[in-house]
Amino acid sequence: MKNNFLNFDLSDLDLETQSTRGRIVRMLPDAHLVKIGGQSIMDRGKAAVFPLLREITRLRKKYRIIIGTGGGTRSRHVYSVALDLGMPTGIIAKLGESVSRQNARILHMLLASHGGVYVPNDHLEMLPIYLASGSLPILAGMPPYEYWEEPPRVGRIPDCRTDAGVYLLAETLGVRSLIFIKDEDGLYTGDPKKGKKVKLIRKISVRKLLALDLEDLIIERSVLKFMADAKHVRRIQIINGLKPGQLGKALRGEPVGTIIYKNESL
Amino acid sequence: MIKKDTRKHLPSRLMRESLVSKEVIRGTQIRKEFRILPDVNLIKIGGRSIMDRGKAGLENLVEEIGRLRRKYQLIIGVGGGARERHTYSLGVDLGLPTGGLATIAKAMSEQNALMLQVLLAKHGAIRTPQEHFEELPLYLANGAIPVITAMPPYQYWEQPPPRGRIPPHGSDTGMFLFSETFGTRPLVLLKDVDGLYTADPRKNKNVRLIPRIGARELLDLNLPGLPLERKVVELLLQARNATEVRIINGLVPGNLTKALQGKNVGTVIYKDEK
Repeated sequence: MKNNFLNFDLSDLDLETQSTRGRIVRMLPDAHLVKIGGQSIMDRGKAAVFPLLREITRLRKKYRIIIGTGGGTRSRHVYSVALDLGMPTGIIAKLGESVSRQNARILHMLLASHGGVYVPNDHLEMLPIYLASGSLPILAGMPPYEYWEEPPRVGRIPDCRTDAGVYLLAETLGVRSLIFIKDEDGLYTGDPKKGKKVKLIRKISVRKLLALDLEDLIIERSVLKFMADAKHVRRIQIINGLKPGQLGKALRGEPVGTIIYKNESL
Repeated sequence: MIKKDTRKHLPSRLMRESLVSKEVIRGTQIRKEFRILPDVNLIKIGGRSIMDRGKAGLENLVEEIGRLRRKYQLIIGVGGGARERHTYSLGVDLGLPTGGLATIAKAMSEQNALMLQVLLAKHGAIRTPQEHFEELPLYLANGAIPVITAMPPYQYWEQPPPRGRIPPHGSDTGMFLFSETFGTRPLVLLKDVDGLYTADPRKNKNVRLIPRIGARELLDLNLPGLPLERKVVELLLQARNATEVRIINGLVPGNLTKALQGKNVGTVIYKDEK
């Protein structure tokens, strides 16, 4: 094996790659990754799910769409039981995985007649053919960390759940846009469901949002951390999936909902 | 537009809660976490430092492990070594994303795991994929040595590192996170140095072995190179079960035995923050 780096330590190689410039491959530059919330959309049943799916099946004729799923109330239930039993974070992460997989299979059944394909993690390399054939690939949002989930700084709820999983996949695939569909108009300064006085934030940089250190967020904190280090996905959009037409606008690049972006200087 | 809460909830303490809320997260903190495999000794064999040496690195070690398993429960993993580094350097040159690098690199630590299992088969070693982890108690009770894939399955979901492009969750980190989740005895990392030095002993002469050091203390020393993945030291700070890691020289016969007996050998890095 002739290689310039061969005699180096991994830490040396790490240093070496820090100075590596040059483009990183974008695998799916034309695809849009859309995450459908668990508690916010799926758990509402057909009242919320059907109109959204109708919109997606219309839009997929024009856009290449990949769907990622969230967990929701069943994740919260299994987390509660496991937390009560003193389970470590790695087990809680593994338990959470099953719920986002259920939701992916539910969406597959509902979208099958429109080309909805459930894509297990080890079939990710098939995405190009699914997209080329006009299918709607559906992935479970939870990252496959399972037993290997990092212990969080505080508490035992895994830091990397479905928002993080979908974000990291978008970053690796180098997709055109990443849209989170939730049941609020976007990011507020607090939880609008708790009835406190809160303000909608239309557009904010990752750095500013991290600095605000809000008590609650509509998106997992780990996503903001990854965004700061990311090479491809420099902008995410959070929209209200209960309002018809928002997804179409977001796919067209219109500023609906909240846009979180990364400063170039970061 | 739906206004009232039409979500179908399941009653639980997290019902309707945002799992991002700091208050909710704080509420899940406990003093003592469940230990799934508290008697297991977790061993990681270095890829470049031991495995790539072939017979010279492994012959004695295999026999020592064979002797040890009669007394101790053992689970073993091994790193990817030179081929993993080659994969990274080639992949970086080609512009592959970090998640892609992590996905292809895993195969190298799987190759080494297979070879290790072959060498240790006569001592009861079996390859155990993660889908079979629930069977670990059975294997251990029957005196088997499960050989697991050390590289964690982050794959396409690997996180972008703050600097550079190399996946931050390598095989040391994979084994460390296994020890944290399963609550095993402290992870023993077998390398080709006696432990942690004040500088790289292969490059400098004037160095001192550090027998015991806190993770925060070590990070603050800001050493240019470490004999283990930096991520392990960072994760030690927030670990609950895995509050210690030991690095020993796996090329010295008897070192692993001493480590499992709890004797003073190599370097122990421990969690020094509450």
